Amino acid sequence: MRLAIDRVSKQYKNKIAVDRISLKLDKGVYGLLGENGAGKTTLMRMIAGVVRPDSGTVSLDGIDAGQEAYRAALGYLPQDFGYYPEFTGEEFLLYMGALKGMPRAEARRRAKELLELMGLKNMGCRRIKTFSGGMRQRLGIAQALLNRPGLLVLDEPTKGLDPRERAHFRRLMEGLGREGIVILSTHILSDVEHVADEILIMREGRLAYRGKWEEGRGDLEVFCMEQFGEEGADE
Amino acid sequence: MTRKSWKKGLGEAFEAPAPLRRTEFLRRLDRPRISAGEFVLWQAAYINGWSWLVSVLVYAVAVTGAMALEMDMVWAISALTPLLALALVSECRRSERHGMEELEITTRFSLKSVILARLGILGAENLAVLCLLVHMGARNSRMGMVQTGLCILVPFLMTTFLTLCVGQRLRGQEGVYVSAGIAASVSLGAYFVHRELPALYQEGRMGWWMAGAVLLAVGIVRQYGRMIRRTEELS
Repeated sequence: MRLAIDRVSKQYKNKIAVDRISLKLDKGVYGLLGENGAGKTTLMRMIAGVVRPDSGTVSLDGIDAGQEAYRAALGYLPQDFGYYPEFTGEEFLLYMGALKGMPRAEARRRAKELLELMGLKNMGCRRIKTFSGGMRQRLGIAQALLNRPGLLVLDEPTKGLDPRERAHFRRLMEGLGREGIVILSTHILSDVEHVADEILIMREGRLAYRGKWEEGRGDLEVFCMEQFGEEGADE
Repeated sequence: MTRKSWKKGLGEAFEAPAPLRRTEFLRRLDRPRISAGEFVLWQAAYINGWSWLVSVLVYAVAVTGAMALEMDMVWAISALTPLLALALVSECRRSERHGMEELEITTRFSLKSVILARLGILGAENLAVLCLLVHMGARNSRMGMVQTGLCILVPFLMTTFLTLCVGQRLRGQEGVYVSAGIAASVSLGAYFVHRELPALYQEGRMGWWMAGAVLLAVGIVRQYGRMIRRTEELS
């Protein structure tokens, strides 16, 4: 399985959000780092097929982003997402399962499994509006995993999670990297340093660094301290 | 040089590489198994209860007035049909209102299918209800079936068209409030015209009503087209 990003660019009015980025990603976990406004979210949204690049292409094993077969292999967690107010946690997952084309029995089984995995076992029948921010985020991660995606795109997945939840999330990611391509976008280095096979750093819409964490550990820590401050390097 | 000839020239100069392991990828994919028909039925279950309730209430008022009280109900029905239109358009905009668009757009069926399914289900239901309403309206009215039909249909079409236009410009809760205001205004307008300007309902003016209905229907089709196109990519 290979994700090919070929010279993708995106411009919003006078700002070039993503500038001719090319990447080839095989199975594994990739940590996408960058300060706010570096273009991470735009790149993630192009990979997810939410926005179309002005130029360039994104494809998974030759299937272009946005095609049905591509979407069938995709799991996506946006930076912010909503929900229908009447939904309980389980109903939300069943609804997303239907949109992903899963038969009801399979969606129900998988939803139960994921609610347990995400520590929401007893919350499945409660309305989402009663969930805390961290619980909602875990539910968002659960819906992304629902269809056992070959390509998992998570934009700021640790937002709102407490330290214990973040540690649990990291363990979860370690396993998923063996099954497909996982791309995590964050501005907190510690979220990805132990789980990412490779680190990608974006700056002003361009790819400023790609490499293994161990290879450039010292430089990366200095870089992150400069770019994102203490929060980015240490949190 | 035109855009078309540019594309052709580029296509000839740079041959696109063959997709890598495309067949293998498609075979390996755990493709979802529910059909488009099942998906539409699924969506029917997720349509907001209020949308069905409004239809039932409007029809109940028409039946009570026309059959139990034996009243001329054209004025009341034409004043109530904007509520049907409001419910229909609101349902089609539910994903946007609750921030579900970004999640839905990346699923196998995609946001476009969600909206088309809801539109198809509620559109068919509204058509059936409108036919029944025309039948009830014509029961105790001095107007013929066509005249009654136009008097009932035009406020419905006008509300649908105007709320769709508003939705292109105003998003979220703001759009809902303005749409509700439009429905209320059209409703009051229909009542006012019937009570104060009965001359407008004379048979000789039906050509104008017919022309208005056709223009509004064309406008609605165009607005729905724009709405569907917008679901292919978020800005």
